[in-house]
Amino acid sequence: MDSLSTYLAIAIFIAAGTTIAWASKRFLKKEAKDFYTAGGRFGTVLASFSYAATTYSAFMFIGLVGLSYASGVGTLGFELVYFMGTLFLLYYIAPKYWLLHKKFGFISPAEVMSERYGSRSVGAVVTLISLVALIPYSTSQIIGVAFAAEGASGGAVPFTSAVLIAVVVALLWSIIAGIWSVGWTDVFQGLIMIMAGVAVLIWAFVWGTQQVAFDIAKLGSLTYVPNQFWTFQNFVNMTLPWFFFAITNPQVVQRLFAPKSERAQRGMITWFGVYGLFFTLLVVTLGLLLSGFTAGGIFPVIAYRDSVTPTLLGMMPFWLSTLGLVAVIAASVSTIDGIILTLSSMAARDLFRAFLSKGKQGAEVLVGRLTIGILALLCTAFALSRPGFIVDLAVLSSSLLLPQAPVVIGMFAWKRGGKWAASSAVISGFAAAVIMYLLKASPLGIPSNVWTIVVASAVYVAVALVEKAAIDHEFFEG
Amino acid sequence: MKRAFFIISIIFVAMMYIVPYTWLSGRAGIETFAFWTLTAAAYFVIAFLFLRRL
Repeated sequence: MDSLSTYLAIAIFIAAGTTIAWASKRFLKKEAKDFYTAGGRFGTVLASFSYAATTYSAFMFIGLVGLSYASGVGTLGFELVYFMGTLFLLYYIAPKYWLLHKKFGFISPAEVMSERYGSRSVGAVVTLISLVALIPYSTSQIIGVAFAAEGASGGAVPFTSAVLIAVVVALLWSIIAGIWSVGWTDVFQGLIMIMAGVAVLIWAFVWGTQQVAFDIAKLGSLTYVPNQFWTFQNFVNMTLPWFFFAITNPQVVQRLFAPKSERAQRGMITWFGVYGLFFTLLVVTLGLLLSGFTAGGIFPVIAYRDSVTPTLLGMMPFWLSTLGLVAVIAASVSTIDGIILTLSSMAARDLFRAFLSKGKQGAEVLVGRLTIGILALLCTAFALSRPGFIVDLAVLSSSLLLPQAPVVIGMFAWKRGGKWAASSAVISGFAAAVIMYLLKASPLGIPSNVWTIVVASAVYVAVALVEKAAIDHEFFEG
Repeated sequence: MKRAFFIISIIFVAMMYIVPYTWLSGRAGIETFAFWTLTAAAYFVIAFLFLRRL
């Protein structure tokens, strides 16, 4: 594929998405609540695609295909533990968030914590940590696009150009109409992702098996655990933050405010399940299939695992390579725009409004938009430094957010605890995660993420037991 | 209902960790892939049924 054709394909995708984003403006009411949560007016289709597309990202198309190619079937277990954890947690937590949004009009997940724990400082701490923690995750999306563009175009579209395209599109689609433009473009992108994924898998299977018989025996240790990569310790370490992803990552928690009814919310969870299970199997199968073709000698040996999908794209016919590239861009953009929209709402509501403004709606939205721009710049700078593997960056983000898990669970399930319990748990867990990440430490051979959640939970419970509880009966009754 | 779903969930999630690393440990072939897929699919069906009665 030459650079002109690649740029043309990307331009068509951007034009179509921007048209959809622009058309969605007619749903937007001029208030902060509607810009960030749709005022709770999403139907099942919009809510489902928005949740799925925000969750499933370049991490899947680039990171997970590469991880299953290099490390084997453990990748499937890793992602399916996330899938099951999400269904489990949403069953209990989603209806509570939805009711609270209806009743109190919360627009950011941190705002809910501030209310429950009786202090705006809790929301501020959670917001500051989320701002830091989600930069690696957003960056991993941008890197995914850049790798795919480089691979699909044979290097004709340079890394830097692809990074800029991804950031500008995410910025544009989140600013046009907030959650409405993000949601409707998520539907568009979610459909592209699934169609392209199926087409790429079918093509790879037919192309490969025409040349060499797929022999699962040649995959050896990639078909079981434990193997060199998926030791039990590493499996626990990687799945733990992933299991709690649905309640610790604000961009997906905020999606729980959007459905228009309880029925739409149940539909959202169900269709997310259908999409997620199918998509997970699809990308892991693709990675294992390509690993088998490498063993059969028809697919190159890929040492850098994030290059597996880009290499495949570079070998495909023009139309499919283009579709695959557009799907990677769609997967990335649908996640980045969701993240920056949510983080901007937290900055506007839990920092600016809570401490600085006097309830001025216009100023709040302006601060939110400024935050979107600043975040986009930070992510661009971080992405251009090519900081690491996509999966590793994504897991790092979730590790840093993991200390919020006991605070969120305790928020609904336990009537003890106030601002000191919540804040100290989040801060101590975050500090533990950062220290162990920097030192590459697993004290006593126990995975670092287990330590993180143990530290956060222990601090939370210990402080909550001595602190006067901030009980708000109206909050608990929803 | 909520307690039943909690217990079932804990059992299914525990199986995701324990079975592949004990019973299926080191067994080459499709078994681990099939086990994880079928367990997650079965859990999804159960979650769907519980959600309908929520």
